[in-house]
Amino acid sequence: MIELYKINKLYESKKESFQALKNINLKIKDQEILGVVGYSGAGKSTLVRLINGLIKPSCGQIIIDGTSIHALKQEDLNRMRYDISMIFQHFNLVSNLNVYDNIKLALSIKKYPKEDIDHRIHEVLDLVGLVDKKHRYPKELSGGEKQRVGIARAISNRPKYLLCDEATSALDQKTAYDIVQLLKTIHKQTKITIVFISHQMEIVKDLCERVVVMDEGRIIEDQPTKNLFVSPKNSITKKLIKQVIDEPVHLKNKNYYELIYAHDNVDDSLLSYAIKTYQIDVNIVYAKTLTINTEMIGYLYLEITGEHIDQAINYLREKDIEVRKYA
Amino acid sequence: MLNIYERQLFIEALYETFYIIGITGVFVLLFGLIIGFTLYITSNPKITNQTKIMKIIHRVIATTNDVFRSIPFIILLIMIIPFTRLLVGTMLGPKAAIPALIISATPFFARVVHMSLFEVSNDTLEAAQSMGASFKHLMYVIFKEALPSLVSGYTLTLITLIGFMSAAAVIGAGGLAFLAYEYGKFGSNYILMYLSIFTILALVFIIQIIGDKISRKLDHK
Repeated sequence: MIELYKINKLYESKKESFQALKNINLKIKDQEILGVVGYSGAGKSTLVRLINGLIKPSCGQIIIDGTSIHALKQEDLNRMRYDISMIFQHFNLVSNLNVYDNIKLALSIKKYPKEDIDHRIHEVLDLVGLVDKKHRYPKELSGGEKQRVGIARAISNRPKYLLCDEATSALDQKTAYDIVQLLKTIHKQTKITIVFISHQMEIVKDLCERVVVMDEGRIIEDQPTKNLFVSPKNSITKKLIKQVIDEPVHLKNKNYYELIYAHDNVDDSLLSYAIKTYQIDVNIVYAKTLTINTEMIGYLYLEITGEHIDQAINYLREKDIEVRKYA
Repeated sequence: MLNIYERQLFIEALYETFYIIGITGVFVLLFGLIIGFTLYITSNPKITNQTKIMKIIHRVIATTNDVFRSIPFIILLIMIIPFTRLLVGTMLGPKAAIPALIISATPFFARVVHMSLFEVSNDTLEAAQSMGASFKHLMYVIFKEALPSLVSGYTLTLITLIGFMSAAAVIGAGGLAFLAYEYGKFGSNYILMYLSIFTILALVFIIQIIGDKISRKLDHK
């Protein structure tokens, strides 16, 4: 488990100082896939680098599996990093080493038993589907392939944690999706804990079970992914979500409502019951679904008229449908 | 064409040239790499904590290095005559030129090394550090990434060395440049002079071509 307590990070220079992180408290459970979302400059990258000690906090505690990493000597910190791998936005492969040697370097850094190295390299290359390209140099690979090498390199010594710093941000949509699928497969097989930093909500929603939203160095929201979409609390979160659900913006100043179905009540004819009981008229303006991880959320945009609208809405809310006046 | 005596002179000069470049080249490579790496390590915040002491160490080495680099070679040659005499027992001939050449070319190459190393992407370093790379592994990554540029830099240094050697001719350092100078200055033997000059040119081109080839072969950026 990774625990962060009261983390502050201040960057100081002669001219000005900049507080990148403000009072961060965060627990990352083992085997979880956590998404950290926010716009650039929100402090995501700083946060992820605190976990493996690449950046030291100005104050606060970082505890990994019960060990506080501040007191560690460089040597012990390095040993701890064997277990906390990282992948990067621009892959950061050694350009003068081929695919095979890039992974070999990681394994020899992490003191993997020499006689098993060759076997292990082929194993991870097989997993990411690049066995036939093991003699290529990074510049001869596509972006997606480079990230696959990055992933192979990162998981080669079976670490417990995988930190992903904007791992899909430099890739096109399809490739990014493939990388997410690969990470999911790896998670299923190895139960590795993944911390996935990104500004792309559409990627995070497919991968992560829980999402932390950051803004200006603070954590402003921390929810299971589905809840985040159903009931976002913060305006920044709402903005980020809008990247994924394009709302019908032309609906204004009328009796328009947004109904969100996120629970297992889709089989009941709730709306129909409400129409009959409260004698309301309903005009379906727009409807759609959104897949989050393996679950689905339904969005329904309605124009509702009639005398007992409030009662009808209360009824729907009681039945776990999120109802919002759309204005 | 050349008579036996002249041919003998030419071959001897060619041999001396290789001798001087060879010995000097090895020492410059060694010292330059050491100083260049030290300059880099002491100034990169990713590798060493930039404490006051570290900054002072870097400044001292950098300044010393730059002082020797700034002294024109011909002045340096004369300046260190006492030292040369102490070291090799003479101030004439090929051996006498070597200390001055080393002292003069090493700071040049050290700066080239420093620059090559600094071009290595910090992101690549960060990736290595995130894996828990020891200092040794970190240096390996830096060296591997900088190697093509180091080879180019060394090629450049060798060619500069050949230039310096011509200046060393005035103290009778020997070699092809000395031959060209000796036999050209009073117009006594133009054939020998031009032959020496063309050989020097050929040497420069060969070094450049081989250097470029190796550098390109090592570069996968």
